[in-house]
Amino acid sequence: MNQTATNLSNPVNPPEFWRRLSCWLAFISLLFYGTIYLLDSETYPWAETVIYAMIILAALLAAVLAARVWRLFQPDDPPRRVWSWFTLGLWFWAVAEVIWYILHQLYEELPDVNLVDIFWVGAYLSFALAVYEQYRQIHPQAVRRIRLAGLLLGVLTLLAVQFLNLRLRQSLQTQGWTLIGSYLAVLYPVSDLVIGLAAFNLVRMYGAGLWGRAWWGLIAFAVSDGITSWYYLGGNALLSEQADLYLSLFTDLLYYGAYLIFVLACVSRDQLMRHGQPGLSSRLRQEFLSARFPQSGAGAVGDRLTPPERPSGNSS
Amino acid sequence: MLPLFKHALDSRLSGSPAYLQHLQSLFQADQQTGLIEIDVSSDRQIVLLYTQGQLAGAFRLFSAGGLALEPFELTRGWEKPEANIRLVNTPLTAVRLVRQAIEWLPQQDQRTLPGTELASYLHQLRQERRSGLLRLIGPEADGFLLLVDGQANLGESLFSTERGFENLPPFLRTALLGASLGVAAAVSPAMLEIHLHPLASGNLPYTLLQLRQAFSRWMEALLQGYRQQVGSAMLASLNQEINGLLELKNWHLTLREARFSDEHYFHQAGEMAFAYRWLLRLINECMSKILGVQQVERLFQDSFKTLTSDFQQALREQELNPLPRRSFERL
Repeated sequence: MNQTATNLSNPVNPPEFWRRLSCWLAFISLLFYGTIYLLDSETYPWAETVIYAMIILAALLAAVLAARVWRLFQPDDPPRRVWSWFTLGLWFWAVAEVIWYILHQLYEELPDVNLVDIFWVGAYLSFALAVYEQYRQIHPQAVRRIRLAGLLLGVLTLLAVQFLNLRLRQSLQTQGWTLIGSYLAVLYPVSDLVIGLAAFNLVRMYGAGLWGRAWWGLIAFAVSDGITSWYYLGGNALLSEQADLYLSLFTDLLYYGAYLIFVLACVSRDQLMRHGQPGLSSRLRQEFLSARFPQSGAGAVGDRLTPPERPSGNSS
Repeated sequence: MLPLFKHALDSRLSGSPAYLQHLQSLFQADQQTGLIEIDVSSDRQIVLLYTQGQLAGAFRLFSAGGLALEPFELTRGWEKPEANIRLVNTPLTAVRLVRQAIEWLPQQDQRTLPGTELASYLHQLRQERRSGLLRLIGPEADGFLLLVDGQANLGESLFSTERGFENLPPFLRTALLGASLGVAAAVSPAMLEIHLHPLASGNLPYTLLQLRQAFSRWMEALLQGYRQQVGSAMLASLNQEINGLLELKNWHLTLREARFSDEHYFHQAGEMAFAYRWLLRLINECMSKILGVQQVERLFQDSFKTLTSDFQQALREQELNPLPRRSFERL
């Protein structure tokens, strides 16, 4: 009752305030990232460190917030399973970002397969399972079909990786890629595509619903990672210097932006779960409160009741 | 005639028709819910049912049946200038049950048996898959229990006891347990009077009961589907939002976890359907903000499909089927 009254009189409630504030902070941070990114690294040697630091911070923040949301679910809540995998995926990414930065500081050249890949692969598996669990919960009556579709998609992904690897192995090996490295180089974009498309379908299903926002982050990552993989496979050779700059700026902004989307989605979900869902519009409330029963003969008692049959031999 | 809910706290008075009218106006002014019983003669009784001050039914009861009365008929046929009058405050459900019992008169089965045999009698009704309203009058409690296909529906049962009104007094809980296991239950051997009013399909209380049950099942499936996707905390938040509004409206409809309970007294099916349609619209709006329109539409449809064809038909007749979001706005 009190909450209802508050919602009617106070259109900007605390959860909404935090959601808006976090949106603004994310936007400012994205602008800052873009600005630093465009600085010349020779004139401003600290710029690269700031960029890495921002990415690591965003990744860690997303993972911490996701874990915070995870704790809000009851142990027997079905969505907790989705969020468990989702959180694990974000932690894999956060750890991968940190390790990658450390390795990058320690070594001039990194082998094409290194410690970070364990975490990247772990993250892909976790996100794939999160998406799979989400579909299972949307269609609880079609669990077998979803399982079958998941298995089929997994097999198709592996076949696509094998097929592409066979096609590209020659050129990758001449560029110095190891066998496992060449597999991973193909696995990442294919996984991005599969998980990204599945996430896109989830986003489409949730439409404007607040629950679907977390999946936007996976789409942003899929696009950004897809372009990056294309770069790794030698795509930048096809671009002019200026196009390369713009595309890499876009890709990196999207990469950083994806973490920010996760952060925002986690803030939004955290606020939703702590403070409840946004109230109904005041127009609908007023309409509801002023609604009256239809006047079809209601009023007289005799009109309202269906008289039972008069018992035989007992008339008054 | 046996008084209804005889274990409930009551006021026993005697007075003239004018005094009755005065009592009625008091019931109305205080927005009381309950019943007024008047013994107009040795074998005839008038029962007036009130819900929040509104006259919800007036009946003349005979030993073998009942008859709906118009308000102006209340003061006719009094044997003496003054009659015994009994006032009882009850929950809304009690009024609904009394009306069902009266409209389902005459009872098909009336018997007196010791409490020790109650479990086997209930077991027999279970095996015969009998449906109806069972009126039980005993030394500890008296009231009504709804049976659907032999199964007790506790949401539609109410008993007056010395402790107040209860859905399931201890002796009945024991007897029902015995009935479900098919064994004798340790119930006090005191004699019980039992009346079984079979469900008479087609009349208003039956229509309302069916609609209520169908809608409850639908809501249960819908809310479970929602919880499946968003978890208990979000479901609790939706319930809080909707219950707050329903309370403001003074409709006694409640969402509790993944359950819907309707304790409101609706005078006609149209009123009930109107309230239920509003509830659907509010739930639809709340869920859409979280899951999006398309998901919610699917949830509504999937949960509706879980209902039996009878229930689907009952709901469809009152335009309570899953509709695209826009259609709710035509309310």
